[in-house]
Amino acid sequence: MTTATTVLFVVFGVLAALSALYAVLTRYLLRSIVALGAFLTALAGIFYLLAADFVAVVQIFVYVGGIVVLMLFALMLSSSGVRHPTASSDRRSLGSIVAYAVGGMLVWASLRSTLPGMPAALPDSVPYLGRAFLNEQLFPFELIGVILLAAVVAALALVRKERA
Amino acid sequence: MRDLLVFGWGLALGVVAFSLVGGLTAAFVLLERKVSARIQLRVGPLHTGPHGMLQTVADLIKLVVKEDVRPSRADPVAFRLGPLLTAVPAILSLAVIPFGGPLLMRGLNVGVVYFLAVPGMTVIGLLLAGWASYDNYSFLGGLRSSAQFISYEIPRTLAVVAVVMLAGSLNTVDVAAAQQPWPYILLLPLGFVVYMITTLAEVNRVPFDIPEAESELVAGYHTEYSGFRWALFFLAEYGALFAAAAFATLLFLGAGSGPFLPDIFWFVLKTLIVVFLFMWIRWTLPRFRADQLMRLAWKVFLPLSLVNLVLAALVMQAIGPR
Amino acid sequence: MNEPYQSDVVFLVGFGLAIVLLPLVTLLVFRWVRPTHQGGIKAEAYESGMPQASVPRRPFHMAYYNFALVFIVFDVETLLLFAIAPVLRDLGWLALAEVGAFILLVTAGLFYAWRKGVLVWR
Repeated sequence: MTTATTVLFVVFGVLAALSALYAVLTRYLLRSIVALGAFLTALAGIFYLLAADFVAVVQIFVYVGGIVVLMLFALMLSSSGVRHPTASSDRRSLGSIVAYAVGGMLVWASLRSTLPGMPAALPDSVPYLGRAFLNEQLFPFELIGVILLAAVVAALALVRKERA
Repeated sequence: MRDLLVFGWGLALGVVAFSLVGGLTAAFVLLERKVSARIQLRVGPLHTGPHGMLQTVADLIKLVVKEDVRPSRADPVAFRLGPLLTAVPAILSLAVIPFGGPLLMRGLNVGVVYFLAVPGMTVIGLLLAGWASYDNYSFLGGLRSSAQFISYEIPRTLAVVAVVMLAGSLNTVDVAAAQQPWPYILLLPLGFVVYMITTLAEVNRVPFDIPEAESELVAGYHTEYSGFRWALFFLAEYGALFAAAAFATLLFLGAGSGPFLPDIFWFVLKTLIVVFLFMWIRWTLPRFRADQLMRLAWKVFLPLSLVNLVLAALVMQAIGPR
Repeated sequence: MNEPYQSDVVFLVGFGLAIVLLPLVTLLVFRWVRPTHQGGIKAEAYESGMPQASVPRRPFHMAYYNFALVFIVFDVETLLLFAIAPVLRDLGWLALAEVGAFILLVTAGLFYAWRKGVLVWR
């Protein structure tokens, strides 16, 4: 990595951390969702720096342009309020225990693992990905199709139940 | 050191792109008013400057010095973010359009997907603006335009997938180069039609301007905005129009190829012709109703774009591997 | 291709920074020029001249949500196709059949949503 990319990596990392914190800490649901969008965008920048350019644009396409929009729809169509509903205190303490446990595990795992260094330049990653999908990864690829089909059916079943 | 140069170059092109969109918006607004006047047998702007040429310049000056009114019950943060999140992605997408000459921009190895992904962020801006205004018209306008945007995004994206199948690359520069003898409008006419019509919907133009249907929603999501923030929505609209026309040129019309003159000339000329086509359609057709609009997206254009994929596969087999 | 891919990011960050900063600077600069007389009837939401009868903070039309759900599924599908589309031309009929099977699966989802009447605006 060159100096500039290291600087960018740090900038994206700090942005991601700050927006994630804000998303968790703010009491306004709407701002929380927007901060989540900022976090996902910063993460896309990190992906791009790590040579996963396709993953980076997919991140923007699906998460920022899809999931965040879905969340905004859910907020705007359903709630009259803007604030986070406050959870009961025992649910909150249970939640924080789970969160700390998962966070601790992640820190522990990342401290223990050695990551390979970044190559200076990678070949174009997209053809590689496409060929992998059609050859050795064919089964997972077709499985995604099945999962997507299941997702449509399940999502619509949920929505219809709510209406009935 | 080299990175610093690249960064500076990016910064410079960003300034150029923003000013370009600003200037083009002024020009397009004037053109639009002249074209619409012509089509509807009126004269259009006439008094400011020769033939009313300075009308939009005057409008622009008015807009930047106009008061920035914010409704008292509006959410201050979301109200400010909305216009920015609408305008910035629209202009940001220009980063991968290879105009040629000094404006070659960057192909990126994933440039085609980048161009489709980044404007998707606009939806967040529209929803925020409409919701933050605390106004029924704005709220409905924001919801309608974002629902329309995401519905038409699928067939539009599938039309682009067909082009990528033939071009064999996601790099916008490669896509331009791949059309050397035959522009893809000849190989994929259906794809071109699907792309053009769904694009009309994505940039909220008649017959797909239900989010801004003046007779129902006043001005949709930007009802409550004034001054420069309102101008940002205008920049976003015409910036997106220009970018989408440039993308159509890139994907279907052979990009900058043409005899004698440099690439950049042909690229811009073709783009402007597409823009004119969009305006022509706008002032010729009536508006769709909200339910017709959604039905059209999912039950006509999505199946059509799937048919187009099959056609593209056949064409691909006919012309053989590269 | 002879440039490292990271310089694409450097370029994009420069490009994006310019486009974010320019409108902000314009807003700031003209702050000293434009009038600011906030408040009063002007700060009310516009309702075609009437006082605001209802506020847009109430449950609303689920149909928007359904469309967003179906959208995300197809979004993921088209993106996977983007990964495959560039290499498809160099591969044979077999690859085409594999992709066809994938598309058919997702089209079945579309057909299901169609039959269930989700794609109708009501």
